[in-house]
Amino acid sequence: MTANRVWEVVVIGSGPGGQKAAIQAAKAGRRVLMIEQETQVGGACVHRGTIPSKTLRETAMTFSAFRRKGGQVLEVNLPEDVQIAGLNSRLDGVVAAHEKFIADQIKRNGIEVWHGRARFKSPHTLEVVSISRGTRRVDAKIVIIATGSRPRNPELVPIDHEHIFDSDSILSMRYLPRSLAVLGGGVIATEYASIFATLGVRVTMIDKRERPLAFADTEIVDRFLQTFAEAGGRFVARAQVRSVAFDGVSAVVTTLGSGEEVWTEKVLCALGRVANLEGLCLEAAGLKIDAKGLVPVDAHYRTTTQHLYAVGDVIGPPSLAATAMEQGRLAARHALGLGVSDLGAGRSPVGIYAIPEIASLGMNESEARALGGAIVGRSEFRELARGQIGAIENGLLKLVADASGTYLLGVQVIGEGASELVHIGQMAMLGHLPIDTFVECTFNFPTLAEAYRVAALDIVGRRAAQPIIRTSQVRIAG
Amino acid sequence: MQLVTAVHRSVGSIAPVIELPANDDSHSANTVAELRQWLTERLAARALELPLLPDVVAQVIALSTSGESDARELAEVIRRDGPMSAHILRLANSPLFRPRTPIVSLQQALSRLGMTQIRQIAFAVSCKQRVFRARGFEPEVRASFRHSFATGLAAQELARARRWNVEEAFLAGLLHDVGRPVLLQAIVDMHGANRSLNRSAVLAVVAELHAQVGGMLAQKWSLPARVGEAIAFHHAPHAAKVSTQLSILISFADDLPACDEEHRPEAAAALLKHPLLPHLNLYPDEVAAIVARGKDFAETLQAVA
Repeated sequence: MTANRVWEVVVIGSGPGGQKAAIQAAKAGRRVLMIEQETQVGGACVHRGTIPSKTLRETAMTFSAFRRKGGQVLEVNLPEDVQIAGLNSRLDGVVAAHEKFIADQIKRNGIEVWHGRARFKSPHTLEVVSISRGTRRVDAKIVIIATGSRPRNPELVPIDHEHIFDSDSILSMRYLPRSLAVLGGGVIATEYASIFATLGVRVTMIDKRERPLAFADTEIVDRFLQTFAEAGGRFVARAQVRSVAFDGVSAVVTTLGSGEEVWTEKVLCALGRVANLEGLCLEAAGLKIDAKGLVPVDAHYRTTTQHLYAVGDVIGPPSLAATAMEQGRLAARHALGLGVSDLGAGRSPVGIYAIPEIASLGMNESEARALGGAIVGRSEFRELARGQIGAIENGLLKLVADASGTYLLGVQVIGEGASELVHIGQMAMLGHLPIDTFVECTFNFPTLAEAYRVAALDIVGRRAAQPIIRTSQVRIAG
Repeated sequence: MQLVTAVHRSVGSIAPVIELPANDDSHSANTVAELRQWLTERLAARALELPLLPDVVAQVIALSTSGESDARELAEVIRRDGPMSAHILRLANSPLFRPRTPIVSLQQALSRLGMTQIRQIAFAVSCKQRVFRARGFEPEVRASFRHSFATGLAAQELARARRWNVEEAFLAGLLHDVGRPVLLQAIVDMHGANRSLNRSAVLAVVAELHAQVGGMLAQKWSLPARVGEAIAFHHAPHAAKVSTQLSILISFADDLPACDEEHRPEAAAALLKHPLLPHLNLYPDEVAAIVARGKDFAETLQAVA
């Protein structure tokens, strides 16, 4: 085993959380080592998750847009034996470009990357076991754990990556199946179910809850389900999966608690994810995982061991790339004694890349009403010129204001561009701007951003008559 | 829609290995250099005749991908091919599928193995019967088929571990050496049955050119381009353009000790130093899990090969 001099910061994992932690530490002038068990940097986000599924989604969106916007000029149909690889033909290029961007950024910041699996030998010492370079020892002052997660594999679902897939292997299918059952109602299940339905696959989404996306605004989710059904998808609510089995001939049979059998060519199991923590020998670092298999951390992402931090999927929800990035940056700053702003605390947007896209920020309508009341303004995209032009009639923006209808508490959007649109509301919330700002602002015409103005006018109309607060009179917080 | 569907579309009339007429100058091609030159010229001129896809494979593929056929119909097609029926029954009873009770009927076997497995077996058995044959080289061809089938089994487990396409990996593994029997048959035909051959020269040239010929055959059978490339480049996987990863996987599976049935610990240890291992990013525990299945592979081989 080769010994090494002490590293100031060691980051385990090169996904979104690890990257930003390492870059922040390097920018602060620290000597940083990143350990990655895969051959490329980027983590599951780049290679198995976010980037690949979003690239396929983009193709599905283009296909859907052709059908919606083509008028009677073009008739677009997918051939029966269309290859997923063909649909995802841009994927290799997109992944390679993104990976190169990350690798360049890491290199530019002087971060050293070792390929191998890390495991703790003591709170300050790790071993890195590599496939081709043996075992190396690493001594570290600060360690940030960002090892991500992998799909959960429930015992009753015999995932074989051939007929029954998980979200890591679903895109290894070469041809689009005729039918697909999606088990689960979370973000990943919702995204894949809607993408495959848009591509013409008969999708049955099965979940134990009343609706998918349990954390989201019910009106938005109902809108999603309506669009999903229009694409040929079927959502089976309040369903317990009793068994899943390949019938030995040509179908997978998913048997529900009700006795119903759902026969599909393939099944995607998206019943949650588990943190990648085994093999790290956390006990040697004095760390214990909690009952959910996660690393407990405080508000600064510090574990119970002072110099050890954890970010991203290993600490649990929301398990989104964007939040992991910010957690990584904040963890590194705190660990290095740099200032940490709480400006963005609790104001991270959530983006769900389903078809249609869903985004949210802050409180939803029911949460706000439960906390003392709310006035909610709506804007239907079909009432916007841009919505009509772009054939995005199913879109909806909801602004959730406080009980007096003065300040924004949350934004919920569904429809094309939702994940971009939500940021307008984010800036307004960060700037503590009153609802009337949206009324007084001039937005480009025609744009979907106009939805903010329409929804704000809806709030203005609903609240008790009171003079419009001029933005010049408003104190900008922070 | 399955991976091998494209294959059946390209199938027209079916023929066994096409017999090449004896070449006038063939009697002189009996050294490595002469054989290489003769074959290279025929390959360059695309004059080496390649076998067509066996009929039963085409029918099985058509039935198993139509979405309307049932197991009985498929069983009927297979029943007409005696050796294939026997192979399928033996395989269904092999340790790979661990039946709780002996499987005695074809339909029961189909139910146990599933359409995908049946397609794979049909492909394997038909290739064995129609493609893996060359008069005078029976032991070599038999060994080649066993090795090919084991490589297919290993490749599909490697693909599963890497979350890559399992079916594609099996097909590429099964057919990675398909150029060997085709070349052997071509040489035998060239020389005629009774002429003596320099066996070591023949085997050396076959070893040299089989990947190229396998790639050509894959093209003729309209196999997916990725599979064809993995076959053509399984000895030089980094030269593959569209499916480098699959080519590396097949190249590695080709070297798995389990493929040779001789599960030697020292060979397994040597595998951990295999130069392609870092490219597949398989850690020792993952390699060990696949090597540990070698016994299953070997027993399955007994059933099929």
